Amino acid sequence: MLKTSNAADTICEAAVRVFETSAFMSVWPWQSTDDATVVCDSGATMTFSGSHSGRISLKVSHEIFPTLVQNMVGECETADEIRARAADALCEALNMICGNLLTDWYGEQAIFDLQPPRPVTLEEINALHDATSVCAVLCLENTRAEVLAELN
Amino acid sequence: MSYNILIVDDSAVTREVLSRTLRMTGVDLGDIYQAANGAEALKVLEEKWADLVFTDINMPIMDGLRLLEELRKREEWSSLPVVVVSTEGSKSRIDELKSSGVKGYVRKPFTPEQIAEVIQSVMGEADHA
Repeated sequence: MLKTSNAADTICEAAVRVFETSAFMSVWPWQSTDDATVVCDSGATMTFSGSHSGRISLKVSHEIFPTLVQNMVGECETADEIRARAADALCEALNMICGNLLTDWYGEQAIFDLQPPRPVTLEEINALHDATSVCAVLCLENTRAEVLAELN
Repeated sequence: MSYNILIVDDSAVTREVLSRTLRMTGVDLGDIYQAANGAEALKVLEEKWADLVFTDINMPIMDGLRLLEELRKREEWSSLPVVVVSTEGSKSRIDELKSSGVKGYVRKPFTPEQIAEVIQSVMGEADHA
């Protein structure tokens, strides 16, 4: 069983790696001095099975979507273009976080099947994760982001 | 020599990310084509020439492994190098892919340097074949 504090640290490391490498975004584990006014209002979730099973979800603020989409995909001309690609970009970020996490936690010998991530509301995420889920909080481009992991 | 690349992934964002990253590698590139799954990839290859294919594994309609099988059935595509791009980190699965004929493997998230390295490794082999 993974220790909560270790799991949260590992989640942060994977998320930092993903957002920095694929989206060139500034990201770090949440500090008490970080701005708490920009809250999460969007999310994505996915499940995995195989050597171990569970669910991983990502909550972000919609305010990061322009940066996330344009950094990952390139210049988008309109707000509609950004909106259209935001869910896909968020899901892909979660997909990468999940894949990296599973290897970090369980090693290169473990085999997993990852279900495609899907965008969800915060209410759905809260309903899908219970109190045993590990939560890692990040500061992502000066907004709050959370990664929740439930391991069965 | 410039390389034409075919990117196969059901995520439009991933296709764009890889396309942008390819342009950042400094490798001499020709055209970059995109397809959302293996079946679309075969249609693209019917009309366009590609020197290298980057493909995801898990895709609807036709996945990456089935795409590889179909490529090997056709003489004109049988030696087309295929590189898998995935979030998977399982060593046994990567070894299984390479036994199936995949020439390279790149794990997401990737840097331009990693993409450049796999292109040079795979195309260097292809050029000397």
